[in-house]
Amino acid sequence: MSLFVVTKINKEEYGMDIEKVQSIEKITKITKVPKTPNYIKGVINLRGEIIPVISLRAKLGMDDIIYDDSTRIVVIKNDDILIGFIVDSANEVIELTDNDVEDISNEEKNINKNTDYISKIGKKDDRLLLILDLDKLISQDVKK
Amino acid sequence: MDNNQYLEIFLEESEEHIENLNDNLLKLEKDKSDKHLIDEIFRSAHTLKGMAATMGYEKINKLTHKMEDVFDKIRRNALEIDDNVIDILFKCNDALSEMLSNVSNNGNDNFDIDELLKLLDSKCQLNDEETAATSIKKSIDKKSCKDINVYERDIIEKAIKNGYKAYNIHISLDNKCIMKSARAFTIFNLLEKLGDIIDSTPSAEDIEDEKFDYDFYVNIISLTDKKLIEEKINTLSEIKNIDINEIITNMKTDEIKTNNANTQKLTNNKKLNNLSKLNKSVRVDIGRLDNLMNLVSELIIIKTRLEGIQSTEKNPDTISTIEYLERITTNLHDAVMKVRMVPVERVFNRFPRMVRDLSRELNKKISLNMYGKDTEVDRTVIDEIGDPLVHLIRNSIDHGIEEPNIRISKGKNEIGNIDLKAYHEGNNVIIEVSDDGDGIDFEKVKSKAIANGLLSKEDLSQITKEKLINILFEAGFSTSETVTDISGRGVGLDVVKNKVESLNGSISVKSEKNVGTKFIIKLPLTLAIIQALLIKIDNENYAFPLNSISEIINEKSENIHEVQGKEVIQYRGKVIPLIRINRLFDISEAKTKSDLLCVVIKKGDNLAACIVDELIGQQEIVIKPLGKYLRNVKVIAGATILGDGQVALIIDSNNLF
Repeated sequence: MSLFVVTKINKEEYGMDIEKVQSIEKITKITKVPKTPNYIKGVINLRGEIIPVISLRAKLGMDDIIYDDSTRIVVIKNDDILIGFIVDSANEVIELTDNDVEDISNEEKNINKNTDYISKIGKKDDRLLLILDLDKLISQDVKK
Repeated sequence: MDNNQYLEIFLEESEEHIENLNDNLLKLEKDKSDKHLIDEIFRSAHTLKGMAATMGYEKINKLTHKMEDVFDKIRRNALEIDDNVIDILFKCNDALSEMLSNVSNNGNDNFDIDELLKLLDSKCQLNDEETAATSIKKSIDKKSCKDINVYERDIIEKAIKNGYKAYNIHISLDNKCIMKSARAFTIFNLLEKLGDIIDSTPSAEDIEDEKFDYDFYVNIISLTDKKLIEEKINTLSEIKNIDINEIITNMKTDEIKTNNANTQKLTNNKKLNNLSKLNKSVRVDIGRLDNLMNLVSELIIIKTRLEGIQSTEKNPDTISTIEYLERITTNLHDAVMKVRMVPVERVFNRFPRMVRDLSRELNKKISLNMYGKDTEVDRTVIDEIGDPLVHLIRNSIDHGIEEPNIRISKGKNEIGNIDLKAYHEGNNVIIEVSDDGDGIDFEKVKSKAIANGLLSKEDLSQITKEKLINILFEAGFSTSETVTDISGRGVGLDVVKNKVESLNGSISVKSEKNVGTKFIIKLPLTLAIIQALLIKIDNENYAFPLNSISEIINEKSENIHEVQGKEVIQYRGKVIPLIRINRLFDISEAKTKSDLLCVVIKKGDNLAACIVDELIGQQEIVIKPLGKYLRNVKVIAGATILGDGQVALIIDSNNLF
């Protein structure tokens, strides 16, 4: 039994392990930081703390779009590092049993090039939830 | 008993005691007749012994016990304090220090103390006076089966000084006494009313358990007369014999009782004062202090915000309330800053010993003078400033101060002086290390610099003293022909400079041949809050730390030249590089203007001009780290949150050019 925060990019739904989600914030002014990869959009002031924010779109290889009212920043805590992910929307939490979750099959790997960051796939009713591997998403950058 | 929770306390307190021992030994070396020092030293060793025994550290216990014996002999004037004795004691102290760190690292106090024990033993060996004294003592205490131990003798001597009398009472119970322990109990009760029982033979427990025949001995301090005590005991039944003997210790009789009462009061007062000073302090976990600091920093940010709101506020009540809140916030901030402040004494304390050891090793006579030990600095500074100061002092001793005969031939005092000064100046703490030695030999610096390729012969004519001094701070630079254990590897000064600069401070040198050298270290009082210049580039806010700024100028774009593909401008007769921050930061370039606003920043002696779009103003800002994720961004030193909640990045000028 696991809970996942459902974030949407385009029409696809990506799931984040709720254990690692600190909070979901509305999009706010982002201060750009020079000399960083293009998917790092900058930093924000989150109640007095400076948090770096990454565009999930850019990280997954998609184009960025203009932020609107539904754009959200999902603040993740991984190994004491706080990072915010900018997503098109995030307003649902789904519960999945172990049965609902499977590893990615080889076919799916070929379709979607960005499966590096997807650890598993969750299926519920008719929905497909791509569960993000947050460690991989974050640790890649820290290693640099 | 769970040793672990006491381990921390044990380590902390033991360290303090060892430090005290060190200090007092140093003082004792200078004034060998100071009795109070000996007492204090004895107390420190005694406490250490007790603590070690409780925690089960046998080796520390053994060593301190032997040290105690030596101290005791000194106290009883049976051993003369000479350099040899002090050397041995210093070695013991060092051993204790090492054993403590072993305990801290490995959990045990393994250390080879055999040699030290032998040395101490050799000092403790009985000489003639000793045997005579003990034999007298033995004849008096002949009837007691146990020698009065040192601790008790201490009490007895003090009591006698204060006019009390000490007695050894031998009680023989009647053979027909059935309940011996009960009878003994009534006798003890009676004695308690007449004075203070120090101890008994057999011990009180054994007497309770009736582990004695019919005799026992009691040592008691009392104001009551011997005869009166005997009478009172006689009122009890079942006692066959009472034998009371006054205990006389072999103190020198010329220690007048009245005078001693006074000095006793003095030392007691001193002890009380020290105690009361001690009682006023609390040990606080550093994490909690840091947390407090963070919260107060937040408060400062909100305060700045309020200041912004206040300017648009019309209501006088609101204005005065906000002003009041601002004052309180500032006061709170100052108070919390003070909590984190620690006197530099902490760091300075290890130097006297170091100077003493080094000067003996190098056969130089050196007097270390410390001023302003109470000056307080932030505790993070304390941890970092120790090593640089060690380097500077070592340099002074090794290179600066000349050997005694050379000094005399120069007309100087045989004893060289090293002065260590600490004081506040404005928002900074200044630490000066100066000596009256040889001064920096600039000719040597020049020739070494040329040899190392740092200078060319042409530069020589133009070289200024300042430039030469900067060369001193280069990594790997040293004018020593030989590399000694202490210095000469050229690793010292650049490390010092780096450490000081990493604390947002600065270091400068003044030196004159044959007169001496002075190193001046300037450190900010707080690390996380700095004065900064806020600027705008392409409508984004950035901050320059104020101490990295040299000047703000206006320059015409026509005056920009190119040298070797890089843009430069002329500034006060020098040619300095021009930095276009927006290009460096990949920000869109504003329309080319002819009038450029430039901030001239400095990095040591080097200057550069940075083009900015707009100046906002000078402001005190709280430095917030960017975090682990962004730590590789070299040009940005951190971020700060402005009054309106916006984030401004703090530019690291050291990495701009």
